[in-house]
Amino acid sequence: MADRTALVRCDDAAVADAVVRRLTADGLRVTLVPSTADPDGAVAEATGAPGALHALVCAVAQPPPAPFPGADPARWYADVMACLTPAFRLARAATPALRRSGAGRLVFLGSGWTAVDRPRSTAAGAVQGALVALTKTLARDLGPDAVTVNEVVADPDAPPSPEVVAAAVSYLCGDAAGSVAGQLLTLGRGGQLRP
Amino acid sequence: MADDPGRGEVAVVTGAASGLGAAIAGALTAAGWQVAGFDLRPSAATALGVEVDVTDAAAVESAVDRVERELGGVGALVTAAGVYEILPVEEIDDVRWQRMMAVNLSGTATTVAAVVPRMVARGRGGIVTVSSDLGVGGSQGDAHYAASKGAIVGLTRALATELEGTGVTVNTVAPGAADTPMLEETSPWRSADFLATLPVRRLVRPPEIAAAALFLLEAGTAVSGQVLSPNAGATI
Repeated sequence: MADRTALVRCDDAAVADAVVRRLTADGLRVTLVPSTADPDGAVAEATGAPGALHALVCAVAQPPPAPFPGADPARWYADVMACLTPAFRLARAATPALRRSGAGRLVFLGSGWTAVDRPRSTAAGAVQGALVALTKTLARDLGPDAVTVNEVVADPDAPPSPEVVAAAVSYLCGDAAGSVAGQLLTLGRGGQLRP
Repeated sequence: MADDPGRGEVAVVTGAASGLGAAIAGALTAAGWQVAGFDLRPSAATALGVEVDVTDAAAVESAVDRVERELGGVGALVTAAGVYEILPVEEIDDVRWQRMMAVNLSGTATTVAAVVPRMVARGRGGIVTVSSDLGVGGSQGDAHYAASKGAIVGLTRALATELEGTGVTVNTVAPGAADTPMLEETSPWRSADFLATLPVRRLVRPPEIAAAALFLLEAGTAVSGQVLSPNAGATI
């Protein structure tokens, strides 16, 4: 069997390092790219085009806190899209290779709905709300081709250790998680069930 | 909000020329609000129709200036302008992604940004965004739309947190598939197979969505940051 490949996009060096080490230990051939990487190039680098991609781990950052009243809406929107669009582009670019895997795994790393409970976090709330809906929608879209899509949720105010994040990613990327689709796996206490 | 909200107060409704926005504008008018309709096309049956592109922040700011000049201070905002499209993820090119996000998310942010400082200064006001059940529970075959609506849910809830104590409430109505022109006649959301999966077995009616928005506007300051889902039971 050819090596199973994984692509990791994560600018947090400690988390990236832990995830790469863990997935490598799981037997995956892992490529780590910065969030600024060209999406198609990153997928090709990971798979050797047009190969299959077993796992994409994609961290989605969020804009820093800033007051909404008085904000320039164009600036606000640009900040949101700067976090969102590159992640969407990478997920889109990886989709054909994930489908070819036969057991593809797309794992977003985000902060879920924890964003909306903090003050001055409208831009973060918009980014993370979009990511929740994107996760669930792509889970339905790609599920028929045995690709699961989930989000690992970490509250930035109470971040889990990188090893815990890596363990969650490893679990979701494993064969045993094939029926976990469209879920938010929150690492920490509490968290809201829905929405 | 006032003890007797609506009576003669000014409400801005975006997307008021048709569909859901028109239904909301009608319901608010019937409840005694003076409604200003923002839309690319003329908003019939409103106290003041303003033709404006909601993605243009400066134009929206001017439109709100005009409403406050001609009708008075804006007491309520309902953002119903939006677009929908079904497309597999690989076919959502950058142009379609940007357009969807611009109309649904940026168009919401511009109008909210234009009214919030005014409402905060007056110590009162109600904002209801229109998101979607698909932004809460995700969807199928419309990743860009779901993302744009999930973003609206996040914006709404975060802004409610931020405006706590100002007298301004921010809530969202997250409708399920509704019988509006946005849903094409051939849409799978109109199919018998889909309707059979709904506990209520039918599409949501625009007046039901308008009633949800009106409820949130008239609920007072105790209700903020909430997601109200007239969705025929699609996501429970």
